[in-house]
Formats: sequence, C-alpha cells, structure tokens
Amino acid sequence: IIKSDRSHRKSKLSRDVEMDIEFLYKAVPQLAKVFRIVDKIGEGTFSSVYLGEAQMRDGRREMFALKHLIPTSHPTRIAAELQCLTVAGGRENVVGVTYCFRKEDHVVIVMPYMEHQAIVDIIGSLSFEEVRLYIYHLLKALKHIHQFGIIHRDIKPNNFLYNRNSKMFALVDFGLAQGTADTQIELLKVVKQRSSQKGGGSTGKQEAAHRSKAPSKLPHKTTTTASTPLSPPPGQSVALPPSSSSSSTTTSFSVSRKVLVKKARSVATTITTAASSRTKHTKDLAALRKVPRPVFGERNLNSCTPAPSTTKQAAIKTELVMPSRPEDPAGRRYSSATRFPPPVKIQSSSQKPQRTVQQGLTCNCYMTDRVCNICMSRKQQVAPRAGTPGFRAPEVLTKCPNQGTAIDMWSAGVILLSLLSGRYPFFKASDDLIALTQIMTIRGSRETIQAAKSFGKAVVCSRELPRQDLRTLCETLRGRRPSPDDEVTPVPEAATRHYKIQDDTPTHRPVEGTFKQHDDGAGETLSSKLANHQKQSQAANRLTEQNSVTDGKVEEDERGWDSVPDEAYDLLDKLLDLNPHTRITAAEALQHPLFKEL
Amino acid sequence: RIINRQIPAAAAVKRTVCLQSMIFVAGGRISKPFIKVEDSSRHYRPIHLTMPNMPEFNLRTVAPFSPFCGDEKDPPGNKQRGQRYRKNRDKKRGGYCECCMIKYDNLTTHLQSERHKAFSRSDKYSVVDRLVSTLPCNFIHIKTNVKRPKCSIS
Ligand SMILES: Nc1ncnc2c1ncn2[C@@H]1O[C@H](COP(=O)(O)OP(=O)(O)O)[C@@H](O)[C@H]1O
Ligand SMILES: [Mg+2]
Ligand SMILES: [Mg+2]
Ligand SMILES: [Zn+2]
Ligand SMILES: [Zn+2]
Repeated sequence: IIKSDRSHRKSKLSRDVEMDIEFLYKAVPQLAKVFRIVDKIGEGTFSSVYLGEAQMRDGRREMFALKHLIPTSHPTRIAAELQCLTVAGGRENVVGVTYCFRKEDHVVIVMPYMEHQAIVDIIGSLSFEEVRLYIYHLLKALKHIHQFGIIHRDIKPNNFLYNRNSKMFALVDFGLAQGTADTQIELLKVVKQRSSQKGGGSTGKQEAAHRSKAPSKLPHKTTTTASTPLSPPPGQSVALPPSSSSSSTTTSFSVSRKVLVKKARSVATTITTAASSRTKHTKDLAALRKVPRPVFGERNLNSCTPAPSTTKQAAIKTELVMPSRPEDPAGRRYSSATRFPPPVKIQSSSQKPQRTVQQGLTCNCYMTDRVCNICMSRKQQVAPRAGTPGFRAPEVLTKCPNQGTAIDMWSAGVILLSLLSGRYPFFKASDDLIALTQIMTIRGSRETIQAAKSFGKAVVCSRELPRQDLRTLCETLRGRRPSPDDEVTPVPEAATRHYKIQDDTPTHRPVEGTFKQHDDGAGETLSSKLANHQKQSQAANRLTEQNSVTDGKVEEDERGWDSVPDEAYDLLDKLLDLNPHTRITAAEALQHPLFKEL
Repeated sequence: RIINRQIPAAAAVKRTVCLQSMIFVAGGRISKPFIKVEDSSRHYRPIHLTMPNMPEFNLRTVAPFSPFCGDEKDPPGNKQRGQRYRKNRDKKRGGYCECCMIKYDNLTTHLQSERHKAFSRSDKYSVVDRLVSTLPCNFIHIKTNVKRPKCSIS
C-alpha cells in the first residue's frame, strides 16, 4: 500500500499519479497555495493519501500526509474521524492532525508524514525484540484511544505505521471508529432514533434525534454539538439496519453496508426458496404474524422488523448514525471484485410476508446441524462488522451486537500471532464463518463454542478442532521446527494420512442436542501429531541449533527467535482470548511481564 | 464454493438451488463440513455455512504467506509483495454513496450528478467545518510567499 523508500519520489512520477495530483489540486484549490504535492503514497477504498511538502510559519519545510477522503463519505463520518484525531491524536503513538481542507464534498485531512515500512515487506527480517517493541507501542496506542472510548475497529499493520530506523510508531485511520457507550468523542455518540410508520405505506420519513449526553471532559474543546441530524433526501428511506434489539445505547456507526447488500441477497434467496416450496406451515405462520410490514424502503429488508420484545405497534427505537460502510477488505484489496456488489433486485411485495413470519417462534434446530423454515424465516441479526475479516474478533464474526474495545485487543493478538509466526496475513478468509473456523483451528472448537456461550451465541461445528499450542505452532510456521509433514523425521504413517485427508473424512454424524459436546476424536490428531513429531525432531533440532551457535554469523541470524520467552506466548494467549469479557485489556497488557523493563 | 450464505451475485441461481436442497431436500440437515451460529435468544436467523473443505492451516506453506492459503481460491503469494496501491481504481469502481444513500456504477459520474452536487453544496458539512475552525493553521503560502496564514476551508 505504501512505498517506504524515498526512491520513488526522485524517480519520475507515473502519469497516473501526476493526473491524480492534478485532479486533487483542482478539487481542493487551497492545497496548491500551501503544498507541493510530490507523490501519492497510498490508495485504499475510502481514501487516497498523498505526500505533500509545506512551508511553515517558522520557516521550516515539513512533509505531510494528505488524506483525500472519497467524496461519497458522509460528513458525519468525516467529522468523527477528524475528531478522533483532534481529541486523541498527536501523542501516545496515535497520529495527529495538522489541519483539514474542504471544498464541497472533497475533504483532505493533513497529518504529519511518517515514513514507514510495510509489515509484509519486513516481516521476514524482524527480530524478536522489534516485535516485542512493536506490540508494546501498539498496546500503548490502544490503551490511549480506549481511554477515550474509541473502538478503532480496524487494527491491522497497515494502520499501525512503523519506522524501523527511528523506532517510531503511529496508529492511523479512524475511518471506521466507533464509540463505546461512554465515549468522550462527541461525534462517536451521534445517534438518532427513528420512529416507525405503522403498517406499510412508508414515506421513508424519519425523525432525527440525538441522545442528550452531558458534554464530557474533552481534552480539546470543540464547538461541535453532540449530534448531527441526518435526514434523508426527500422520498428516500434510510437503508440502515437498526442495531439489535439488545439494549445497547451505543451507535451502530459501522454496521456494514455490505452486510446490508448481502442481507438483501440472502433475503431474496430465502424468499425465492420459500416461495417455490411454500408449505402450509409457512402460510400459517405468515397468517399469524402480528408484525407490521417493514416500513422503510426496500433496502431495509427484514432488519426493520422490531424485535419480538418490542414488537407491538410501538415506535421502533433504533439508534443509528449514518449510512455505514463496509469493512475494509484488506483481504480483497487486490481482488478485482467490486467492493459494492451491484444492486440486487428484491422480491416483489407479494413475497414479503414470507420474511415477516413471527419472529419469536422457536424450533428444534437450535444447536443442531439443521435449519428449518421457522428459524430461517426469522430476521437477520445486525451487528457492527466493519473491519478486516482476518482481524475480526469472534464476537464480531458471530454478530454479537454488544462489542467493545476488546475487539481491538483481539486484532492486536492476531498481529502478534502474525509476527511471532512470521506469517502475514495470518488468517485469510473472505467470509466471516470461514474466518471463525480458521480461528477454531488455532484456538480450538470446544473452546470457541464455550466462549461463544458467554456472549450469547450457540456455535456448532461439524468437526472438533483441537486447540493448538501457540509456541509449537508459531515455531513450526517460522520453520524453526520441521513441519510434521516434512519427511525430515519419521512420522507415524497413519497419523500423516489422517492429517492430510482430514478435510474429506466424514466425521461422526452430529447427534441432535448432544453432538456438539461430542468429541469425535479427529481433534486429537493434529496436536498429538505435532507433539509426537516434536519429540522425534527435538534431538535433530538441538543438533542444528548447536551447530548454528558455533557459527557466529548464523547465530546473529537468529534475531532472537531461538529464545522467545514464554511470556510472549502467554500474552498472545491472553490477547487471543475467545471470550471478550476475560480478554486482556490494553492497560493490563502493558503491565505484562513481557514488557517488564519497557 | 458451496456457500449457502452471502454469496457473490453471479452465483445467485446456484445459491438458490443450494439453499433449497439444503433446507428442503436434505430435510434441513446442513451438509458437512459446516459451521453454524445462532443467537441464544433464538430470535434471529441462524447463520451457517457449508464449506468445500474444513479450513485448516497448512504448515508447509511458505513464509511469510498465510498458512490458510489453501482455504481460498487465491494461490499463495502471487500478489502480496511489492505491489503498490492499485491505480485509478476509484474512477472506475462502483460503490455506495453515503451522502445520497444510493449505489452508483461510476464514481466520477455519480459525483457529477445533480443529487450529489446538491448534497455537496448543502450545509451538511457544517459539522466538519466547525471542527476545522478549531484547528490552528500554521502554513504559509508557498507560491506568493505571503507571511500570513491562509487557511480558509471553503
Ligand atoms: N500520517 C501518515 N504518514 C505516512 N503515511 C500515512 C499516514 N497516514 C496514512 N498513511 C498511509 O496511507 C495509507 C492509508 O491511510 P489510511 O488512513 O489507513 O486510509 P484508509 O482509510 O483508506 O485505509 C496507510 O496505510 C499509510 O500507508
Ligand atoms: Mg487504513
Ligand atoms: Mg479507513
Ligand atoms: Zn429451525
Ligand atoms: Zn452522492
């Protein structure tokens, strides 16, 4: 994403970049009076970042990062990003903001430029000490923003800049940030309620309101009011899902728009399915429904149906902020797939009743390997989801509506896992449930199922996946231990075969109600195999390491990876705690023995 | 991919068939390997996914690439390194406008639309302007070399 070396600045800019710079000068003419824009240093889905040089009043010339936001960003989102920077930035490894320029819908946030290296380029050469330092400084930034009630939501190496030479760090990109219930960032509190129109005939009208929250202790005083009413253009309904029926009063700032789109499709699918195989059962259910038709526009889909507990005809109290944007798809950044899939034609109204089947009906699919008409006709749960798939916490992946700063701690854990294992990205999935399953292969399926209960989710997986020993895993992935599949040392033939065909091997058929606790035995294989293999290869390993120690140069090449302390894996274990309630906080993590003398 | 949920649009037809067979033909049983998540309130639709293969990390993948490379279509490591940002994506890409609350096929065209232009000139941006007005401006004009800050924001 970014070019770390300065070489490209000297080389001639590409025609594309020149044109982009020209375009930016035209879009925001004030820039030309202040900056000499010398390069484009980043381009994401929601912004392009340029490098600019400016003359300061004190005579110095300084370099700045100019973040040109995509003009389709809602002003409230822009203001919230800016406010995170003005309130929390400029210290504690959080990037500061120097100024901001706007012309109409073009907004450019000016930040001090920090030269940095992309993790993917240096991961193979990082020493353990650098990794320790990197995580320490990330935790410092997280502690700081969490104190302000900011959930960053997109913690990943691309957003935590590292300058290897100067040992400087900077957390950037509050474009997806969300506030905790008691956030001190006024613009992250912006919440609006909308009242439902009863029984169809929606005009799409909404009322904007805001939570009146006493102005809290902001380090910087701003004149900004607590909320900006967002009223939709005439005749336009708001395509926002409400936050879930659970009582959270925080915003659903980043409820993914993509979720909505997908939701739309998913609903369409379900409807199609149901319609083509309509049973008496579903008809009866439809007839039973007491819930008014969804009142907002098509794109609201089922999500606007009130939760069972609030069903009556009472106003739907939904807290919403603004049209939200999808997660930052780092995993898809290079894919040619469009970010926002084309509009999906929603089924006509004749089919709508299908999706408003009484919500609260239970069936006996719960915790089984089945789904039926009843459970599939319920509304989809909506939960904040913005972020990058491989860095999303289990509670995000499972659509837990109450999410807190712990989600950033999970992401920090994924980064640590990545750095300790020398793999980036570590998880690689474009689908939330695949991501969740990948997590289970590392942290264990039973453990995941157990933790999910604590945040109100029943998880069923068709295979038991054993929890891995983190040191063994990281060292193997780093190539410090031969992989059990390598033929370096003999491995029991049966074990090898089992491991390799694991995917296709039918597991025990889940037995309703009990099978999820059922240990299907397959689980033991990989870990025991690793352990087994470990024993066998240890002698050989020791030999190799002794050899390398005798050779000074090779020893240097170890970069500390031959003596990673247990504390590192202990912290990793606490960051990757599947249960957000017990997951270590940033403040606690900074006290961890791993950082004792820092 | 045999995915019953959140599938690319192109696979719409297949998906329907897939979902149908899953729910109705197969008697509601989810094909394996699968994962299913349901809110314990039992008020929401379960989410579930049948995967072509159970994800597993592959210890033999080459560092620094993901040990899960086999789980997705992309072959490992063919696009990670040395690539700078993708150029000119913006102009060609479709997307969603948060201001107008509509999807668009072409960003440039959308930004020129009357609806969007009206929004861009509206007072909706005052929330941004108010914040900016609290920021000090220490730049000077480089071209004119005037020794006074010039930081009007619109
Ligand atoms: N202050 C900065 N100094 C140097 N590079 C920066 C700075 N801010 C952002 N960048 C670069 O631009 C990239 C994109 O910026 P970011 O704020 O993350 O935008 P986006 O929301 O599009 O991801 C970053 O990953 C980083 O490489
Ligand atoms: Mg970013
Ligand atoms: Mg961003
Ligand atoms: Zn059911
Ligand atoms: Zn628009």
